[in-house]
Amino acid sequence: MFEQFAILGREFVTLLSPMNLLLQFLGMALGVIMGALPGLNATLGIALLTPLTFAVPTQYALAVLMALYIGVMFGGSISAILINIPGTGSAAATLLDGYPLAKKGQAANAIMVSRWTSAVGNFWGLLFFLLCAPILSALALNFSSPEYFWLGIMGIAVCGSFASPDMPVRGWISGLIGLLIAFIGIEDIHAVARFTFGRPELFTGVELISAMMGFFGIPAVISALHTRQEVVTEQLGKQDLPIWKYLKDEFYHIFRWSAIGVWIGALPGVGENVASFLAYADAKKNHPDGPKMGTGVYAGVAAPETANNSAIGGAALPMLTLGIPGSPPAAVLMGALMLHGLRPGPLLPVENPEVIPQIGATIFVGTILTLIVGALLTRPMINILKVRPEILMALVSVLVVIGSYSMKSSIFDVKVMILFGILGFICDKLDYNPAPIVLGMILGPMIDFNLRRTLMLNSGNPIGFFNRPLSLVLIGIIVLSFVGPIIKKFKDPQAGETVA
Amino acid sequence: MRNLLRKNMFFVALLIVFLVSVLVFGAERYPVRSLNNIVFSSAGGGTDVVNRFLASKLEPILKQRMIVSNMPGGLGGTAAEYVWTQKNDGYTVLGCSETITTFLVNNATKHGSADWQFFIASGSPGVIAVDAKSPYNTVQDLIAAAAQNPGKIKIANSGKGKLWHLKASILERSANVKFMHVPYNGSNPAIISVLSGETDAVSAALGEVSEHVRAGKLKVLVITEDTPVKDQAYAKVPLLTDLYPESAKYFPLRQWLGFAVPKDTPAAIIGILEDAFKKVMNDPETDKFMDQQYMEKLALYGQEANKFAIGMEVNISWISHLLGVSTVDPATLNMPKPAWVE
Amino acid sequence: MEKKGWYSCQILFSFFLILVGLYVIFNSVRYSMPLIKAGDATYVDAPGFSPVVCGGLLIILSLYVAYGSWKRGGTLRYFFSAEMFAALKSKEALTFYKVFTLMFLYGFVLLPSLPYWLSTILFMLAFMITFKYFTWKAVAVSVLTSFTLYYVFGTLFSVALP
Repeated sequence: MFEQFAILGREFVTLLSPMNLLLQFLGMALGVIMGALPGLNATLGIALLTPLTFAVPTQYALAVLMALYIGVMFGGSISAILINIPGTGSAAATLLDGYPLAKKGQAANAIMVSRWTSAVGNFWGLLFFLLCAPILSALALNFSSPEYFWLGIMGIAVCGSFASPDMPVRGWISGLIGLLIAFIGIEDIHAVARFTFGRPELFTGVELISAMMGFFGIPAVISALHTRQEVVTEQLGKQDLPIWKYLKDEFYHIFRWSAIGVWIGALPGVGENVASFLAYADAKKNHPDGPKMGTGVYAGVAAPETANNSAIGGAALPMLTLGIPGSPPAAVLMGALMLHGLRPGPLLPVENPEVIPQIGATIFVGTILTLIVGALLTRPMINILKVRPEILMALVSVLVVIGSYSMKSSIFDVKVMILFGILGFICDKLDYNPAPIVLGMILGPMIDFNLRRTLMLNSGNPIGFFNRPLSLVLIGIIVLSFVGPIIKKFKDPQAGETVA
Repeated sequence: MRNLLRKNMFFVALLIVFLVSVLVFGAERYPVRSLNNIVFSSAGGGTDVVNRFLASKLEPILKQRMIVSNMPGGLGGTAAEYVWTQKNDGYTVLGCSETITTFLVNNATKHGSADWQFFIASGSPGVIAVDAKSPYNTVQDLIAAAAQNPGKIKIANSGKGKLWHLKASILERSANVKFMHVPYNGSNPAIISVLSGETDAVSAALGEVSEHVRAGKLKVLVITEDTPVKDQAYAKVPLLTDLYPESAKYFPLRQWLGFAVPKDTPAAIIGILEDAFKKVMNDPETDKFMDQQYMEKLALYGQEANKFAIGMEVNISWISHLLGVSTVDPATLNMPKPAWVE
Repeated sequence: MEKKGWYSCQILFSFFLILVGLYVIFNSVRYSMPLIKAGDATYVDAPGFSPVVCGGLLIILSLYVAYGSWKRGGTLRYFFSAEMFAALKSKEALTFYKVFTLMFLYGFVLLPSLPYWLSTILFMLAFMITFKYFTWKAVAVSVLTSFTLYYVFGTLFSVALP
């Protein structure tokens, strides 16, 4: 346990090299800006930046991408507070109290609260990550083929149930769509090319990062352009809140919201967006300011911002130790790590023991940088938010095109990206949540390979899936995730109609 | 007007200087910026370890950084395709192993050995190993068990059609028994499957299992080669060709690790790389590294390396075809039939 | 938005998914059978096994969604209702057509035939003209962006740009 922290300390020291600090600083600044600009979110941001990190050593790539992820989570709150538009989905709960605060002339204070609670949330998430990673890694080393299979199924089942709580069936369908996309390409056991439509470009499968750029990027472009509205920024006002006293007084509640964030973040594919809403709901119920929420109280900003940042540590944990990403941005991050030749999952501590402490140290540096970069960027952000969406979206379109092209220098990937844009738009309109699709695409090869290998090892007898205690635990979780929504519907038949 | 002209002249001059500098520095000097080494398998494997070592040794000679990154997938074809589509200017090299000789026959890419210029550093001998607590103490035990339970003894390998699968298949064919070949994504998961008891044995490189052997977790039953291993610790382990002399016809069939550049890279650049590679191979530290990794130095480059690789491509393609693991018939690839094919 | 048209779209999409499921199953069987017949694979480790399972589940779940949407009033006759026509002419739909026309032009026509910097400038200008934002600033941004990207990707990362 303690040696874990010693390694972390060593990694932290190496992270203090000027190059690394500069990269993390840039990543963080980019993240804050992307987070604040409506239409750009963490998933898209990581996907856009991945091709750029391809030519740099893995350690730097990790630093930039993690810093970006952390930055986006904070950046979203700036636009939520100043212009009443959430910069990302994870800040949608923040505006409920953030904008009223800005109207009262307390925008600067609200952003300061958001900045500090983001940092504290990050810190709790990191602590949880560091404490649990060795335990989960040790547990995961006992995994064999059937457990890997159940693990993949669990990821999709839980994500599907959470992603569309009103109609989990649609979440599960999304998962299946993702799985089927993952099956494209040469499969692992017999080296047969599946569903390649005779195109040799598809032999290696659909390029995950390209697909994600289309899937998240193009719907974002469309929605930013058609919901165009005049942006009115509120005045920042004075920054006079005694922040240390605030953090001390709210210690218990902030810890509570962090715990919510970490837990939701760690659930497969259920990310920051859900975490921030649940923390907001918790604040409404349990915080002394609860009844006044919605009229502009600091707790309404602190709760979602704490939770969406602590969710990062939560989401990184299963991604690195089990190979099951905890949120959509973590899924793309996992794709980026795989491009760098790492294999997130139980084998990671064996094959690349340095990665987990490195990510821990990156989150720690990111925590501190949130405070610095956040403070530096708050004032210029008022001008950045005035950038016309037409220019911005033209830029995003160009970036998704060159990004998907540069993965393999192939126009074919650009075409695939555009097709995924159409699919993404349709899924968006018809309420098919994208999170399970992403998860399915990541977990597909693992599920397929281990399903068939287990059957092969047992000569076709399915008993191999049920005769190990770890398998049974995983099956239990899967059954719960399937039955849970059905029970809820049974108890409250109206739920399906009202929840958006 | 004149002002405008002068301004334009300035830009034209700048452009000319830029173009000239690109031509001069781009064509005459290599390398002027860092190189990328794209390894076609995941980190921690033999190919990766060797390429990272080579990169660290090439850097001071080429006076540029060589950044090693991994791009596994598609039997290794993803990385090969990627390197091929980059500018073929020697700045992007493919970290590869003997698996590249199975590309054509497994339909991973259309670029076979003839399309590459190889720099072959080393190779590790193949072994079949079992868990230290396993009831099989000799390869004869394993064969006997397989003879009693045809298709029940599970042998893990790093992927269908790859060298380690072929080596286990040769043992199977020579001993006239039937194994169950279980593919994994790389040697590491395959070795771990033996440790977790999911499979009975693993066919892999000695370099990859040696750590577990030293830790007393695995034992080596047979060396799947035709020449003995240098290390005295394995002197008592039988060779495949000693057990089954008729299997000698399948050899030479061995692991080799190194890197490659597309064949149409300018000859001058290939020459610079060859000189640097030669220096690395003559470095005493290289020998030390190879001993640690249980590898044998091959140090092949230029014509010699390509002759070796293309010869092995023919051999391995026909073996995979004969053993029924290949997707494409090597006859359709214009590969001459070796003498031993009936 | 009135929900009935939306539910009929759900039914349509479910049918599409069912077709995908059938296609997947058909194809899986097609390239699994030769391997099984040749004795190289068994039914459970044939390449088509997992796709068949997923395709089957996809069909079942899609049928369930189609049934649920049908019960909520989405029937096929809503395809020709005024609601649907309004939706097809809404601002969002128009944006969708424009964005995809531009993207198709860029990805399928401009990039394969023109050098990267030129096609990017053209695309960005076309984009901003389409969305009625055409100033000197837009031109400057287009030119600057395309050359920056050309330099960053083409030179720094040595990607072979078209």
